[in-house]
Amino acid sequence: MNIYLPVAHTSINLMIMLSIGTGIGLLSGLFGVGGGFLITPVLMMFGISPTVAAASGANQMVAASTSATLTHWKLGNVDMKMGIYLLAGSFLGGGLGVQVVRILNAMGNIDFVIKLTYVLLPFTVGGIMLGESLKKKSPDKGHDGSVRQSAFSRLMGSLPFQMEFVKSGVRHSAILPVLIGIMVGVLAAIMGVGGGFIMVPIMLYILKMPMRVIIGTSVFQILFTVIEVTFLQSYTNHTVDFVLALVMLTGSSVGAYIGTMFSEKLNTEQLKVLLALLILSVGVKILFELMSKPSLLLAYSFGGK
Amino acid sequence: MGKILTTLLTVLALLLSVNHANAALSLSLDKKLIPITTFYKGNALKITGTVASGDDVVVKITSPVENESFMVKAKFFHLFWMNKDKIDLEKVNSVYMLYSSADIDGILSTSEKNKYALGYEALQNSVGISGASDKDSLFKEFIKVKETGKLYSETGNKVVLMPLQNGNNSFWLTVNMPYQMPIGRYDVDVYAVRNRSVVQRLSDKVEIEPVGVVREISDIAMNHGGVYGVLAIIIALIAGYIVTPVIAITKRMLLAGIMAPKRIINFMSGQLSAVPVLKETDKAKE
Repeated sequence: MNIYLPVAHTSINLMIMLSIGTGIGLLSGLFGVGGGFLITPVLMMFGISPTVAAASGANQMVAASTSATLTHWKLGNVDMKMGIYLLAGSFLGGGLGVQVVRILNAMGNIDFVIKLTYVLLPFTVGGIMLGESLKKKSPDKGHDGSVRQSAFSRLMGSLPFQMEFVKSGVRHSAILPVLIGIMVGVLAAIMGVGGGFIMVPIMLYILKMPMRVIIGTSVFQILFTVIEVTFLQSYTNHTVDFVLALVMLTGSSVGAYIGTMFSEKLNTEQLKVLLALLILSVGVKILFELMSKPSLLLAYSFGGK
Repeated sequence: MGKILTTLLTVLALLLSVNHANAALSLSLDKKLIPITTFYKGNALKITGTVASGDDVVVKITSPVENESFMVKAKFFHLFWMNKDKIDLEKVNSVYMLYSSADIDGILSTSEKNKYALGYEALQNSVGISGASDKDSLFKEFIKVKETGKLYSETGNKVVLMPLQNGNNSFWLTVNMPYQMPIGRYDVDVYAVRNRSVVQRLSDKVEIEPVGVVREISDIAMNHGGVYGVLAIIIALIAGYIVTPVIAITKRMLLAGIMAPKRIINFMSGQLSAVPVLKETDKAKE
């Protein structure tokens, strides 16, 4: 059965879209990523324009993130304090990122930068995660046997506004999550995603948060980011297709619930390896696309260059 | 005198033949409006009419001409395929569908095809391409993009002709108007073709337009973006909020459904096993 999308102005198969939504929701609940880095390319494969795909994807992620946040909240996995600091940073970074996109767009290089970011970032993040997970970890000890602190850790420790994040069981300067939020916000604006797949590894390796709290806090932060994106896209670009989002969110809400339940059953190392493989596979796919000759050598131009 | 008479007779014969053709060609569409409803996945348009016996028929469905821009993909650093140069196509139809009762090249001369923009070759002559050096291969790529998007087609031997009792032929054609066709008004032109020339032409219009809920949503999204955005967020929040209890209830109901037969079997077997126990006890008492 097909359904017509009033903003995308195209017709889609209902069952296929529901299945895709479920799959993406499953990832959202399982790994704490919004699925934005998967949803846009998948929707584009089905003939949805890139702008409508990105905006409607953000709208459906509101539902998936709400469901995942509530489930993680009940399980006590959301570090509210850390989430708010990260959110403040990502809101600032999002605004900054929009300006970066505007400048790159004017220079005519935005397409290349976005695709290159989609290749480089997943490879870096996924590679580090996979490497860390696969190697047998042992604490880095000094000559006297004490645990050695890296220069980065010492620098972080010297920053002002140090505070306890009780839920995560870590102590950091408030500046650190705000700076991370800004960086993720900029990247999220460039890549058109919620930023979950960048945020999760950062929380794990820089903020040293436990995996369960990372997932809960990540979906909490994503929820607010995608609410902001949905409103801005509806108001300024009129590119949110609500019917498409509704179809996707029906599937993704169910998927997110199942994913969260599964995340409780899997151990942390399994989750890390699976997420690393997922991120790497996205990078490989985009790299393959960039390097192979496209079947069509012309593409519709929607302004820009 | 004889020559003048012959010329007059020839002119008269020609006039009569044109009048005959004018009278013969007719056109009818089974619908003037194709409504886009919630479950729209394209629609069929039936084009029928009559044509003089021996004439061929060409049917052309086009959107109004406009300018379109494309990005040409090229290799970057000998490694990556990227959008590189922008080209502009002027006076081009975003939709172009051509159907005929025989092969178009066999029934029309090049000049006639160019005159009425019938066929891809003729279309290339009427379209202006700026920003490109190799215009031939670029136009071929343009056709490929359009055909992939189901917006362009050129099909011979598709219009069916059947003889009528009055000596004319009836023709009919069913066109699949794909959902990819943009909203708008389309020209339907029918040409009667004889001796490699167009002898008569008739036109009509068909419109593709959203109706009902589809139109309402589209209008709110375009004209009240802020309200639309807030509504989209609220509905998504509610959907995300209710899904957890809904799934939990469904899960409980499914589990109850799966467990019910097992419980009944257990209950029944319990009842059955209770009978011999009683009997044994009775025997012991005896």
